[in-house]
Order: sequence, then C-alpha cells, then structure tokens
Amino acid sequence: MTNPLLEQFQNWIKQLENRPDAAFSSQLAQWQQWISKFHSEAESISPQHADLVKKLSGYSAELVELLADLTRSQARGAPIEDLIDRLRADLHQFNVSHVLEQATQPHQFLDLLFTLKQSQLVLSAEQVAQLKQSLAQLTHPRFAQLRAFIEALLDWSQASSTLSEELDQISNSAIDRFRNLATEGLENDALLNLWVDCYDKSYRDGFNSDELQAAQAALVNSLARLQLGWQALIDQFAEQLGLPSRSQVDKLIEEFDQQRRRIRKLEVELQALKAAQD
Amino acid sequence: MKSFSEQLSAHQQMLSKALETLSTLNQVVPDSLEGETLLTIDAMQLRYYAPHKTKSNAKTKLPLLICYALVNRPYILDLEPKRSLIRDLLSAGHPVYLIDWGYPSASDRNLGLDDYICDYLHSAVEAVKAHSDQSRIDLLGVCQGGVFSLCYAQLEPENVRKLITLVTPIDTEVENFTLAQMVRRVDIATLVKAQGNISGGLLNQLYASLKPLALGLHKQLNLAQNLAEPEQARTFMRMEHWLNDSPDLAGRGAVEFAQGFFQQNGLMNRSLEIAGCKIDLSELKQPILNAYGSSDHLVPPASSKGLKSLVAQCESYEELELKGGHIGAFISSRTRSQLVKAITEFLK
Repeated sequence: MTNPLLEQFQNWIKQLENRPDAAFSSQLAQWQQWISKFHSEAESISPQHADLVKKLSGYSAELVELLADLTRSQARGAPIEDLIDRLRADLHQFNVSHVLEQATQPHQFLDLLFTLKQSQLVLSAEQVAQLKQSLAQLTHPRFAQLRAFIEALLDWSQASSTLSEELDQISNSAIDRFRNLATEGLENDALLNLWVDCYDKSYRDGFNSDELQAAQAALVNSLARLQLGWQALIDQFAEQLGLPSRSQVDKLIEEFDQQRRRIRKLEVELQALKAAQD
Repeated sequence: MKSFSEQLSAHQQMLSKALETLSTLNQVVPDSLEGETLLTIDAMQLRYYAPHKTKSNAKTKLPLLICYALVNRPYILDLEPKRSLIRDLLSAGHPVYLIDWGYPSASDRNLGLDDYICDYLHSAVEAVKAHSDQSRIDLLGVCQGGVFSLCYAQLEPENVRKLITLVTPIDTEVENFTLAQMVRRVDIATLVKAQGNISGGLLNQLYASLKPLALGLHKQLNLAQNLAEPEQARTFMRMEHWLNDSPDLAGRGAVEFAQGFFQQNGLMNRSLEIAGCKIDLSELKQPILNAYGSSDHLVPPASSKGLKSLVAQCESYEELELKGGHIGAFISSRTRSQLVKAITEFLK
C-alpha cells in the first residue's frame, strides 16, 4: 500500500537526515526502516499477465535445463549434491518470486507459501525491546501521540505473531488432512489440487473457531489503530510545518457532504413540485 | 505416471502457448451492452435495456430493476455476449433496468444505507415507474443488492410487485460463512476512521483471503491453462478485469452494513434499522424467489436459505438452487438458462 502521506513524511525525514546530530540521524534512520514496513511491493506487481507468463516461462526453461544437467551428472556417476542444492534454491526462488509477483493474498498469508521465512512480517525481538525502551523514556505529555503510535505498533506486532501461530495450526491440520487423503500413484496435478483443497478446508474450518476470528480481527484492529496513530503524528507535524493536515481535509469533506445533502434535498423538492404541476 | 521432468516440460509448452495467445490479443475489456442512462444522482446511474420482442414473448412484461451490490461492478451481469444474464433476460422479453452505484470518491464517505436505499434506490424505482408507465416494478437484488432490495420492499411495499434475491446473504451466523466470521470482531468504525472509505484493494484482498490457496497460488499456477486459446483467454482476462475493478466502499455505509447486518445478524434478529425504520422481513407480502449457489464460498447456501424463516407472511416463497459458486451461479450457461427460465416463470 502506497500512502502519499507516508511518502511525504519520508521525504521530509530525508531532508533532516543531514543534521549534524548523529543520535538524531540514527533515530531517523530507524523510523525510516519502520515506515518502509508499511509499503508493500505493490508497485512492482505487474498487472499484465503477459509479463507473468513470460517470467514463469523463463523460470520453467531454467528448471528443465537444470534437471537435464542433473540427469546427465547422475548417469555419469558424478556428485549431484550441489546440483540438487541449486535445484532446491531455484525452486524456492521460483515459488517466492511467483507469489510476490502476483500474490493476491494479504501479506500475513504470504509466508504460508514459503519454505523459508525470509520475509520479516513481525518486529524482531530487538526491535520490540527498542520500542519498549523508547516507550519508557517518552513520559512527557507532549509525546502522548507518539506513545500511542508505538503502543499500536507493538500491538500490531503481537497480533501478527498470534495470527501466524493460528495459521501454523491450520497448516498442521491441512497436512494431517492431506496425509489421510493422499494415495500412491496420484499425478502431481491431482496432489496439488488435493493440497489446495485440504488447506482451504482447514482454513475455512479454522474460521469457525473463536481463536482464529479473534486473531484475525486483532490484526486488522491493530493495523487500523496504527494507521490512526500515524495520521495523528502526521497531523502534528503538518500543523507545525504549516501544511494542510488530514483533519482539516476531513473537515472540508464534512462541509462538502453537508452541501451535497442540501442540494439533493432541493433537487427532490423541485422534482416534487414539477410532478405536482404535471 | 509422468516424471517430474516430463511434467515440467509439458508445463513449459503450455506457458509458451499461453504467451503466444497473449501476443495475439489486443487489450481485453468487458464487452457489455451500452444501455440508455435514464438517471444520474451523484455517482449512481440507472440504465435501461430494451427487451427483444419475439412472437413467444410478445406480451409486455413489467420492468425488472436489478439492484447490484456496492462492492464490485455490475457489468459481471453482462460481461460478454456469451456470458450475460442481462442479454438472456432481454431475450426472454424482460425490460431490464440496472442500478450502477459507480465509484464513491473520498467525499462520499458519509453516504449511509439510508442514502443508498431511501434516496438512490427509491429514486431509481420512481424513474423506472415513470419510464415504463407502470405503478409497480419487479426487483432483482444481487448479493448485498438483495439485502437492499428486501429492505426496500418492506419500506415501500406498494412499489414492488415481486422480489427476486440472488446469492444474497441473510443469516450471518451460519457455519462456514468465512466472510462474516472475518468481519465479526473487526472494529469497523476505527478502520473507517483510519481509512475514510474502505478501499477496493482491501476488499479484493479480503475476498482472495477467503480461499487463500485456491484463489491465490493455485489460480496463478493454472494461468497458462486459462490462457491457452484466444476465446478462453479473452473471457479469463475479462473476468480478471472485473475481479480487480473494485470500487471503494463509502465509509459510513460500510460501518452500518458491517455492524448492523454482519455483526448483529440484523435481518435474522430484526435489529437492522434504515433511516430510523426497523427492518422486519416478516412484514413482506410480495412473492419471493430466492436463488443461491450450491457451492458459494462467499455466501454459503445456508445463509441465503435463512430468508425462508423470516418471510412467513409473504404471498409465496420459492427457492432455487443453482449448481455453482457465487458468480458461477449466474454466469455459467447452464445455470443462467435455469435462472432465466425460473425468473420468467416467477414473474408471469
């Protein structure tokens, strides 16, 4: 999700980066890192299916070539461990790139599809400790909004972890279901279909439970609070810099809506008058 | 059984074929009928499609107003000539009117259910009556549009002769209603406070996350198969175009619908209020045809079938099970034909 306000704020931070205060610069860098977590790679996702097909085709050709190498090496009796490692890595890259290119899932579901957890979806323990430390230091009332934001960030991180745990349980349940239903001799396509069916059924069943509903809602709710907290901070900065704030824009929208309603009421009255005349 | 290498090669060939097909296609857009715009209020438009008159349907039928959902776009009802519920209804002699809610802008965030139902929908009904010179109309509500239609039919009973609900959610507490379960504990008011309108992108993610593998990875892995032949590829691309063409949801309307309908199970508990009026579907007198998809993952059949227990006073109540999912129920040629036949019979 690209947020123009976030981008604006990032640019503003960049301008301040050159200040001679090293501690301040380092703090800004940390903030930038956190901000960047709220930007997904949406811009890099191509809406053109042709691009995707072309890329998949390229990957597929590479994999076929690699398999041919593997078969030849095996026939020669040459060691194949390195090739197998490469194949594993390439297949993984294939999966990850594919999903990132065209994923329609919310980010919290992405790591379900990965064999390696490279994407960091929650804050690290070190980052959490740093944030908690900041929270303990920011006691002055003028930091109230910043405190609220950090608290929301910690809640979001906790909610992400909890949802990941719930989703892990769904994966386990799906694996059990798959083991019970998979039989020898099934073609790969049939196995894939079975896995998709098993996973989605376990997922659906999971949502019949209070735990998963609560975990999902906690994540969405904490994200909303985080966004509100962020907007409050932006508002504060915007006011200090004399820029139009979101709350001012909101007020304009309210006024616009009132005007629209007044016009609409007049339109309806006019129509009624016309109908009466006819 | 094919070896892994053989399967990869086959997949490679299929991808090449898909690429070749794609290179022959121009930009693919929905191939919908233009229609005549009869009314525009803010972002909402009312369109009219004239029926095809043949010997078999020479008798003038009452106007049929289709009320689509606020989410997604109504052109799924007329995606292309071979997949068009609207064209099939026209062929059966029905004069069709369609409400297109349009794309709410940031300044529409205060539009509520009362605006949509008591102003826009009501104005559309009045315009249809005037255009067709009829005192009553028949109303067909699709998905959320079905909920709106039911509410409207109770609030303005004299305007609606017969009512059809299609893949419409009613009971939000049935098992396996993942969408309702996902919404149940969400603090939608805070989300809207943060976002203004609920973005179409977020809604797309929500729908895709209802079946994360089937609608995500698996669909993409089957991409090459879906793009193999030009005609099939065009249909696939049109569907994708529609799926990704999600308008935002006006903030206040989203809060009212999520809280009043989903979280409080407002229709079943008779707690939903529109413009200060309590919605109690037991007051409905009009004949009702309730059609649902047997394998609808978005609105489970059990939810739609909840309507039966609410409308004991209505003149007649019929259910129609269509073999398909939420969209397949009215887009596949088999179910469409079954649906149009049932609608024509019901509206006699």
